Amino acid sequence: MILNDRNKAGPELKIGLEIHCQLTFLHTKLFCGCLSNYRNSAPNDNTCPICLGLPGTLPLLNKRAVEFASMICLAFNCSIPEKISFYRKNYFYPDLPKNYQTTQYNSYELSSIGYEGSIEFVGDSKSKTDDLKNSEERTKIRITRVQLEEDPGKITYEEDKSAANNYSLIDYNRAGVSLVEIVTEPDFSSPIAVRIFLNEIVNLFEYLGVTDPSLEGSVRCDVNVSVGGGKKVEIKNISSFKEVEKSIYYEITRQKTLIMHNIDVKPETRHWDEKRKVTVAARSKEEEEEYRYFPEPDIPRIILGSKFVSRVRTSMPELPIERLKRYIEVYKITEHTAKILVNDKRISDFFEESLVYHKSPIEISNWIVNELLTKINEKDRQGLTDHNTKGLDILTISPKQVAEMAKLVEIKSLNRTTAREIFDKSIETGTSPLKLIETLEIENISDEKSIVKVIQEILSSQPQLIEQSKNNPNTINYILGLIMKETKGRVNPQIALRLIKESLEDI
Amino acid sequence: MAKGIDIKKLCELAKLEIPEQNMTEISRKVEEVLLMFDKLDDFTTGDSEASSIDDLKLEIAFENLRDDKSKLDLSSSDGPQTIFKLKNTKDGFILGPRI
Amino acid sequence: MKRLYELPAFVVSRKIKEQEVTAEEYISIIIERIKHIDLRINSFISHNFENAITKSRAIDKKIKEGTNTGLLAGIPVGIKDNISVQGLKNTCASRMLAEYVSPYNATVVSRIEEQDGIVIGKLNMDEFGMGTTSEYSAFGPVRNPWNLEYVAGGSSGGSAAAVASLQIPLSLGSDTGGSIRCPSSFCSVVGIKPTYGSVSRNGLISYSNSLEQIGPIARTIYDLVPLLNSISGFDPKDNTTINRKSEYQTNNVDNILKKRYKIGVLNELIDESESEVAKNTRKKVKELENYGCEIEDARISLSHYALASYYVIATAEASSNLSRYDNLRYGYEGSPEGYEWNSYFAESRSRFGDEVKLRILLGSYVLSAGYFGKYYAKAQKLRSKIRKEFDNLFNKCDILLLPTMPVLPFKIGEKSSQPIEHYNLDVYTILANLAGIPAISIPGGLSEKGFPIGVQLLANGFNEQKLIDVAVLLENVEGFKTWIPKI
Repeated sequence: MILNDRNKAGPELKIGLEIHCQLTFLHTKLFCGCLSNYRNSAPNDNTCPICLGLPGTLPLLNKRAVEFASMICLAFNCSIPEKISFYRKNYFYPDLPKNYQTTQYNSYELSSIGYEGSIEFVGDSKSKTDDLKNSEERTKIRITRVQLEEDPGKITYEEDKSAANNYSLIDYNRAGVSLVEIVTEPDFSSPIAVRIFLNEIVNLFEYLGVTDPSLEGSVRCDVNVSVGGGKKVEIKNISSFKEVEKSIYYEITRQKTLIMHNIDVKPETRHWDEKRKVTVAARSKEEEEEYRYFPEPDIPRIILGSKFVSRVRTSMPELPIERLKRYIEVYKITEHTAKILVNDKRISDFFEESLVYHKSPIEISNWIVNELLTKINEKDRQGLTDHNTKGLDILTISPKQVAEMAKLVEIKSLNRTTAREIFDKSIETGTSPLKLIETLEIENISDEKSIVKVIQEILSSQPQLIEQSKNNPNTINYILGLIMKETKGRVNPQIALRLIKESLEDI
Repeated sequence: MAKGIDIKKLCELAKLEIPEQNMTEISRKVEEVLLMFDKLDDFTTGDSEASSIDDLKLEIAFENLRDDKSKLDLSSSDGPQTIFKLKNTKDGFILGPRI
Repeated sequence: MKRLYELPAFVVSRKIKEQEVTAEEYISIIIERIKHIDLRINSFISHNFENAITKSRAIDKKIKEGTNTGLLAGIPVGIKDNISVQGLKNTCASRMLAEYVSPYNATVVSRIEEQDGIVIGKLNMDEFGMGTTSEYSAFGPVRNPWNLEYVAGGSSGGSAAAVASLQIPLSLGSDTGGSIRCPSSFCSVVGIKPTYGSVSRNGLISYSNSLEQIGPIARTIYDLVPLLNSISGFDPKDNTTINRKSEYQTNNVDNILKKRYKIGVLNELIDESESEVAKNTRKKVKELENYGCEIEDARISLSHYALASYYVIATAEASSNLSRYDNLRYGYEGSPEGYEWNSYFAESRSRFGDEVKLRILLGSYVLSAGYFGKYYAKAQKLRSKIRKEFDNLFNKCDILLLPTMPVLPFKIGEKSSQPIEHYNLDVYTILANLAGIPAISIPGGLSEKGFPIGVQLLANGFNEQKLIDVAVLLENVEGFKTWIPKI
């Protein structure tokens, strides 16, 4: 029912995103020397006077955080200003040690690390059945700004029901961890487009090596939705990307229902209630807008300088779009296959590593895309993987094994059926395909003498075939069939055919 | 201009509790000072750089920011060693109010 | 013969280094003096006597062993209670932080200790530095050593009064809008607010970050310079400090005169001050003229807007800085159990004193939606204009001279209920904070009724040496003495 509704929304549905990405690959927090990896510490152990906001402490900006954020900006085709600065966003909340958040703000000056970017993506095959009319159409999403800011701490409760708690429990281990906020224009016109985009950018973050998206809470997303040119409603508190899509569907329905009953949609912030699958009104927007922003006096304006951007650009890892181009142009891999490889950095890296053992990009890419990924998808469907990423690690196979498979097929002319059998065994047991072929003794019969021997055995036991072959050309194929049966398909059919013909002529 | 400000709303914004009997006095003081602030209205720069921030903010070169390394030790080795104790903890968590 | 506590710090330090007297003996005398005197002055909030004695023994040992000791060997230094000293209470004279003990040292404190100075205790002040009289302290007002009924000036009242009353030779204060210079003037001591960015603020509990600096207070310029040298300079823990080596000297008079300093006199502001203040300030101008200094009339045309600009910026920054005091992580006795968070925060924060609350409300108002351009941005713009005006003046002269305070010290309680009346006292001192330039207050004699008057000198950014030079000139005028209150 929701699906039908959605199609009617048409161009009037506008969705924008606010993505928060923790820079988990930083060693330290944004403004102090505490660990960026807060996930293994006992409560409040990963804190210091600075991130606890003790009186008299000053923020000390992490240089690498600025570089990481700049890499994200460049990946989103944002401009980076020559100078950046920080602002205080003032609001009280128990998870904020200073009761303000140090962030960036562009209302009074261009302070943010990135602005006015855009990113294009192609809807993949999954969306063909959905409302992206032409899946190959490139969707362009404008990026309003990218800003660097600090994560707050975490509040938890002992009891599930909030009313049952007499107090909350606060852990500031996360407080001060570097966050990059990416704000898009409301350029999405469907929840599916949002889903594809999010997968795309998670992949991008992985390529950049700035964050590990498999860590819980490392990439988060707030959404704003407006229907029919109406007021914008923000949805916060969405725990995972799957929920992002669900919350948008819910919100569309909610707003449409209101419009249908001639009730105005209020511009407000709503929270996604994951258990009940509904959005609920949070504080009113007006109240939230009293953030009393002003320039952070403890952090001077940072001069990035004119060479900064080019320096970051050269230090940046290869982006998916660049890798795709290389696969197609240099490796001559089909666009379809190349895309599948590139769409997941770990698969693409797996591919690259396989090439080290056997430089045959087309054969290896086929093994990965046609065989390996099918297996992963099967496991995926069984629900064995977690979070926003696919799990290569659930398979025991190594890049070397895949390279060996390709080598076997190419050099030893192993036929596909046998190769698949070996591959399956190799995945199951983790044994090298080269070893398997030795131990199972199913290496292809590729020396012609052995094949000729088999042919002669057949012809001597069934001499009538020699006569038949003279009148009926199909006899040759029949003989091939017998050979295959005899050798369990271990001969190369082309070679065998030639040898059959030669044997018959010799008689 | 400064007359008739909503002092209660302001207290809420600043999370300050002011006893009812002091409200009149604090309102008077706030308004008195805001009136003095209005003197800024007489000041016009003459130039039209109204939107941009013109300040005395210091600048720092990117290169001079700190490296991404641990151990920014704020405590010193001399002097009495005190391990900072957070107040009201439970199993390491800090006790907070209900949200 | 003068008693040890009456002597300048640099003299005693030399005696300690030459083993004429031990650091321990000196510290013990100082402790006795504090115990004897401070009951009347109320300049200390907390003491560090035991640690100080231990420290003094260590210094004596060093000296005996022939190890080199620092610029402040054996000298007790009092620290304003908004500057963090590891292991000591750090109250900011607020009930909000009544039980807060700092787990770390401010950079300036570490540097004093590196120079073998000894932290003797924490000094009284206006709550969070917000005041011009040191009356707004949760621990009671600081009393002026010249007359205990009178204010000591603020907000670093304890820092100035303790030095003036010969309890300690040196102290640190902080100056956001005159908080070092005002009490220096009211108590007749020397106090300097250094150039913004020349002294680390790491460990200074922020009131208004973009305006304030830590600075030393002493009885003479000769005592002040070693402490200034100890604390100044770049600090990797404060991104607003500037990498600039600064080693200040107390030059001799002849060498200073060779520099042929030009003195700009802010006559308009002298005229606007109380007559005895004006008279004594002019006397100082005359003294410099007698030295052969070139004297010029100078004028700051924007000084009348300065007050609004200053208080907009100060309250805005303060409202944000003081947000963190919610009594969750540290603070005073009390648990949030059972509270809804809004009411817990509001109730916890009701512990602030009235003046602090007033400034938080003002700051919250000027930053609230739609007012940024009207107040904060405009105040900043004015600030740059004032700075430019100073730049122009300093193209023509080396030093600007004006009174530190427009008035003489007044009675405790005399000006309590009118905020504007209070704020108006700051007009001469806030100029240096707005412009970020260094300013010094030096004793300018006594009024007929025996109250101190301070003369203020301003120089361009990082030109502290010029201020020190002129201070040396004035201290070397025949008839100059360190005026000491009878107590």
